[in-house]
Amino acid sequence: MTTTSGIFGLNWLFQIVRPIETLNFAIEAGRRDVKELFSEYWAFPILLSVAINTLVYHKYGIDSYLNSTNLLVIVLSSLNVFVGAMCLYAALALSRARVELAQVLSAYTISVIYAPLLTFISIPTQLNIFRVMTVLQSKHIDTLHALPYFFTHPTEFTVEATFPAQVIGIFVSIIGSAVGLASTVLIAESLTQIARLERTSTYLAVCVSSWVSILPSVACVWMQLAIAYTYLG
Amino acid sequence: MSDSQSAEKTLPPVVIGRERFALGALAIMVLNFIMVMVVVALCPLFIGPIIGFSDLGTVNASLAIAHMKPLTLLKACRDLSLFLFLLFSSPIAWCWWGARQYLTANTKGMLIFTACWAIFSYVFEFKHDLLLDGTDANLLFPIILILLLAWRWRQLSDLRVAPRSHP
Repeated sequence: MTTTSGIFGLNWLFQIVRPIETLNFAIEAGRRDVKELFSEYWAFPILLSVAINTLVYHKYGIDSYLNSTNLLVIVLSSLNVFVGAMCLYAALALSRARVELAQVLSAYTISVIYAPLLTFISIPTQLNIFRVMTVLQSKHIDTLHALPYFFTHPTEFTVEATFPAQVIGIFVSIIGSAVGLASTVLIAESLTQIARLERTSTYLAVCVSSWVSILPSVACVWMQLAIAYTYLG
Repeated sequence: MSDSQSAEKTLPPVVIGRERFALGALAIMVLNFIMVMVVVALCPLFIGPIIGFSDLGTVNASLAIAHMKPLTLLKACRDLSLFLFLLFSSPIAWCWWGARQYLTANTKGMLIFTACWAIFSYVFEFKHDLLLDGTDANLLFPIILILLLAWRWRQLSDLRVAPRSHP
């Protein structure tokens, strides 16, 4: 088991340092069989992201309450990736681009392989959210009133960051933006080339879809947080 | 083997050079800027009332919004959206033109857009005393692009999109 995950881990490391090569392999895999694409390129990064999320949840003792909570968190985290890909396919379809779902999924692989990095980068944000939720719970504010309370007392939850933490925070946020930007460009450019689409409209569709997919993603995260709030240890 | 199958077999691999990647990144940044303007313009219609209602305790303006009748509120939001959209429509068109220059690797257009963007950024940053902020990347990217253009001026012409042949 450890050896297998080690091999997958090494494979994933190779993928993140050689994105264009990975993209070409993923396109080939997508052309052969979408199942192969999922098993070789999507499964490990998604599981790794879920594992990182679960560790953060574990720190706050959420998993000790109910096993199905973990399952829900896993489903919602995985759903986020598919939502992004579906939004992209919809945006391309709306722009009347002749593109197959397999091609979109192949191109979107690049975003999937970088997902664990972005999840890792967002750990401080997640921990801060849990800290805020713990404060809310200590004030005996229920789930329904938590959000209005948070909006009406925003300054109550701010923490003054010290100098090194502030610099690290800025640096981490720049890395996150750079990874997001790079994966967006790679998705747009690969779609332009593999489906022989017009460059400007493809870039626009990719850009619009990345904005549109924020809404369902936020909904997924809210559901995760609602579950976490209920079972916060 | 059919023609389409043989065409699929001979599909060339995806090649993304450094210049193409840099220009794509700049185009995405400009397109994101357009999206920000669109979202801000639509904000009163979709997000404004939600924030307004959830923020009753702190903002007086929200209280005023909360006391409006639903139809009046909707009309006010619609008017504000229209106003913001009109306000942003000119920059949106300008940024759209700029994004197209990057994507088609039109060197002259790219230089014009980048120079204007750089001047705008400098004026804005000086005016708001943000130069030492360090978090605003708007200032950095035009400089990177100008350096890139100066470095690879001739090679960029190879990236130009060939005009589409009509059947």
